[in-house]
Amino acid sequence: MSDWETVIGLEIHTQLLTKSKIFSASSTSYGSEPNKQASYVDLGLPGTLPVLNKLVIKKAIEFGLAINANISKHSIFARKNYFYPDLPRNYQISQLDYPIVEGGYIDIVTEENISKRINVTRAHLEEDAGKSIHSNEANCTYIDLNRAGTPLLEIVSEPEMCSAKEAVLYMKKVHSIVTYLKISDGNMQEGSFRCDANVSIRKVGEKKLGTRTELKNINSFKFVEKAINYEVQRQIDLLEEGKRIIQETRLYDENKNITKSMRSKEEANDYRYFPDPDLLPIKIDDEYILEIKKNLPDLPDVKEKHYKSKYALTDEQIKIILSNRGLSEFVDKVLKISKIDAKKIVNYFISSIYKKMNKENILLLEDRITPEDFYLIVESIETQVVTKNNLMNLVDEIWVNKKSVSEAIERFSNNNEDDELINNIIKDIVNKNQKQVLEYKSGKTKILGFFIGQTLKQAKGSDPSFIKKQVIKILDTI
Amino acid sequence: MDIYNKSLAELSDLLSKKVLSSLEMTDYFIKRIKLFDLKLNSFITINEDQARKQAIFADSIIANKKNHLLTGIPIAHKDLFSTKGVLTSCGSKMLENYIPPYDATVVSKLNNLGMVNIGKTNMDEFAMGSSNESSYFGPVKNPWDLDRVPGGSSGGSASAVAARLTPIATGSDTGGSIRQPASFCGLTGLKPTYGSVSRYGMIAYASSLDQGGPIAKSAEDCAILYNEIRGFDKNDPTSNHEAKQNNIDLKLSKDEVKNITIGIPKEYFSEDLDQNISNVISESIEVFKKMGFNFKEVSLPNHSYTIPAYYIIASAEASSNLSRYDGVKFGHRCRDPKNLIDLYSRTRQEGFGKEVKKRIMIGAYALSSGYYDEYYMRALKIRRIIRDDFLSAFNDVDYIFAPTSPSTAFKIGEKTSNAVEMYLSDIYTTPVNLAGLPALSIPVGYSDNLPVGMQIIGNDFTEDKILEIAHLFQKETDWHLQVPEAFSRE
Amino acid sequence: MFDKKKIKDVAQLAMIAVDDNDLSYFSSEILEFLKTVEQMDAINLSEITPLYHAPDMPLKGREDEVDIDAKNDGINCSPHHDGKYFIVPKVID
Repeated sequence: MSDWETVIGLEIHTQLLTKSKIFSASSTSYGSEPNKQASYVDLGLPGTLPVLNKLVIKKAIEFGLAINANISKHSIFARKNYFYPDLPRNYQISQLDYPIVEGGYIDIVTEENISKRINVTRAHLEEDAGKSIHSNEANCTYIDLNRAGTPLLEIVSEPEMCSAKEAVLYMKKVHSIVTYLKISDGNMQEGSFRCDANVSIRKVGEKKLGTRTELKNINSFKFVEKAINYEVQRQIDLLEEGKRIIQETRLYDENKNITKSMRSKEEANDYRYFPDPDLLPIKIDDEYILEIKKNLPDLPDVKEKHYKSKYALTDEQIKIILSNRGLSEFVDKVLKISKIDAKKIVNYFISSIYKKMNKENILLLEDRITPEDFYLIVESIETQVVTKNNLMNLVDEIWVNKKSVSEAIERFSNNNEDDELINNIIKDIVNKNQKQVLEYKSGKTKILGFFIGQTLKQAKGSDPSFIKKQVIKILDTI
Repeated sequence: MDIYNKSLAELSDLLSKKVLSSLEMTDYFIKRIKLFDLKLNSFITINEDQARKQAIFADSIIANKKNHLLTGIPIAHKDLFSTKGVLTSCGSKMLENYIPPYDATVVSKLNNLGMVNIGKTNMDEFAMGSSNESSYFGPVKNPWDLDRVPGGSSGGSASAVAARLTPIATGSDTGGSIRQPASFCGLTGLKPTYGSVSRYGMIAYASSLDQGGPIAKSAEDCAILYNEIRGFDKNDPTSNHEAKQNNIDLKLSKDEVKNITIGIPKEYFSEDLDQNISNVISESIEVFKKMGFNFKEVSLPNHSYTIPAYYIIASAEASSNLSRYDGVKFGHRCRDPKNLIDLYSRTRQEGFGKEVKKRIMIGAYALSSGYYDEYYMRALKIRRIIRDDFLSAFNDVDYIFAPTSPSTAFKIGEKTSNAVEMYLSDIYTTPVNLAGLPALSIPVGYSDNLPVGMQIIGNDFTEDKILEIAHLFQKETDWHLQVPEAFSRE
Repeated sequence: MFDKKKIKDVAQLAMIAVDDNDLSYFSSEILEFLKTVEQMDAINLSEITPLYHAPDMPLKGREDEVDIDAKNDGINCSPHHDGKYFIVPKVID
């Protein structure tokens, strides 16, 4: 067994889910033509000034509350000065002293089912830089400033994780919090959730921290684990050979599964941080924080317990529902009005709506189908008005064809195929029961129940209200 | 008709009465600029084509009787106000070919009223200077004596207005750059309360100190222009919601004057102040006393720490604000850069003049690790006590009078070899910027045939009253009506 | 101690190339300036809080709206671009 122990701290940069950038009114949407989403302010043209997007403050506070951190009532933006072509003003607006969120913690549950608390040092707001594209053929670097000015929340953990697995659990937890609260869309492929890992090792029992390296360019949970594991072994090998570890930044190469040294643009750089004189201090009062707290939805942790205890949902079901706040809100509404067993309803949901969302890559449910309508669909299946295999058809009728629930059920109900059959059954019963026909004709409408009952005996599982309709229709023609 | 010497109200009257069209007026001033400016070098760009177009448009508005007082009147803008489609150089080689794609808020406000942008005026490079000798486009001369400086950094604007090449001009004031040139050139110049005038589109020098304002022939003209350029702007995060929007009416009566007390800071009128200037100011104070104002001595005890604090703060902010000039997105770029570092460092070596480079380095040093507390933090603390001194004095008095400059216009080249001496000449103007307060410089007399200026300083957002006080004084005196001999002809 | 080495370091931070003449000029100028700055030491500022902006006011932000009218044609100001990207000498990372 190893006599080395690993110390890991994570710095997560998550892009905040806002329509416009943090200091300019440019769009934050991904994938636009180069430099078409970079305004004069983003470019830092002479005379332009940064104007803060209020929504980023709200989102930062939401995150802080979710991790039980302290929200700074007086928070300051500072300039981090260094030169790089993807940094338009050659300074980044960030926060140093007085970050908006301080302290807080994330609880993880390890594989051995042990609960561990990882403390968060701070979370602060900053603007993202643009993109550099290096070209060997043209022997130049192309700069696209679309991303410059996108709002980021940088979340810094204490160096309290002891293994790559713990780091992944922490990262996943943070990811679920920010996506669940709609603070970020957490899209790692598009770069809206990025992770840097600070990794060092020391002899077991040693109090002093070893020299750390910073791993950058990790954009998936899988690679975080691999990168850290590789780096830990690399450091162990070096120390066991009697060599030193250099404090440096290393890039993870996912193809070769190695980390390699990056000639850091930021090495030994004096950033000359000072409060940005264009931006006044952010003053946050208690009322504002309280208002945000009131409107904060329950976090996945709390909901998981609720789903298990009240509805006895399975782990698999819970995982799916909680993967997206829109899903769980929808399911909650359905469960509230449901008389059908919760596990059943959720299964229906997963095999229809959830499946459709995945297939068509839709993240949000709004306006496509209401929880009430979904419940009615399920009910129609449970009461055998519609067969189970028509579940998706019903959903599509409402979602795609924009029909109402009753129209959908009408279209796919069993009775459509057996209309003829039922009509014949009714005619037959009517013919054989003239006495009851006369009673109906004389005004005893209650006798309808007799006809319906008789029909149902022969047409089990049919829709009683449909039968009633047909009975009346037929009786009226006599 | 002496159109060159008419006030804004008089010019407006001529236009309304169709004595002159805006196009004729514009051509008149452009002709004047072409005739006289070779001597002064106060303009970097004469905006002839666009100005004539604006004038024609203004004439159509006047014809429909939909005009504002300022419609159709020419104005010159200091070359740090972004003017869309028109060169904005900031007096620097770095931006000698920079054409902004947008207008500064101040510019667009005045354009929308139908003012005619007649040209961009010369200035100390990136507004760093007190004599307009550091401009890449050559020094500006003082119309009162062509061997002397007009002051800086808004030297071009002051020179142009003093020589009556334009009825009025905009300037900017970070450490005295409106007031000191106004005083050297016999003009009235206003530095508003910080946050009153939008900085959007003003090429930044020191963000927490810069303010745009008018340089004019009179307090009345200053007020007319200031009225239109002040106010909250959502594009400027340091723009103050309390910046007033009401119209300034200069109706201060002699009765109200009885209730106004003016403070005279004892530290300002020590033996360090030139005797002649002190006499001229004392005489004007007598005029105020005769008008009914009350006077009292006040103290601004921490006055002597102003200069180092100002230069540390301004240089620190400037060092960061000027980092964007790197040859990548706009401005000068060095030839054949070998690599990125070469691109940056050679572009900046070539594009910036000596004084700018020096202040950038001072600023970088003051913010650097190990020196931040000693320099930058200390300077910010001194800023606090300077402002507190003023606020404390304003418990006792309503306004404060002060000299604008310890000297009258000095000779070109006289102070360029001694930067510290040049810096020290900002001793009366810089405290006002540090404190964020408003101040107006008015001409109060002459010393050796050169204009002497005096400041009226007020508490936050008291510009209206300050202008009223100055206007009252200008009704009793005629210092502001004097025109330098060489330019007092058509 | 503000010597030539210090000037070189500061010039590097400020990304301004300096030749030997420049070094002499700037070091003597800045040294002169720093002498005046020493005056700031004469006063006890331990109880004073720094003043960043005057008059004081809190930061007011804007709503999260995209400006659809923005032209975003700033690339045209650049001395070196290909219509899509800004171009700089190749950066070696």
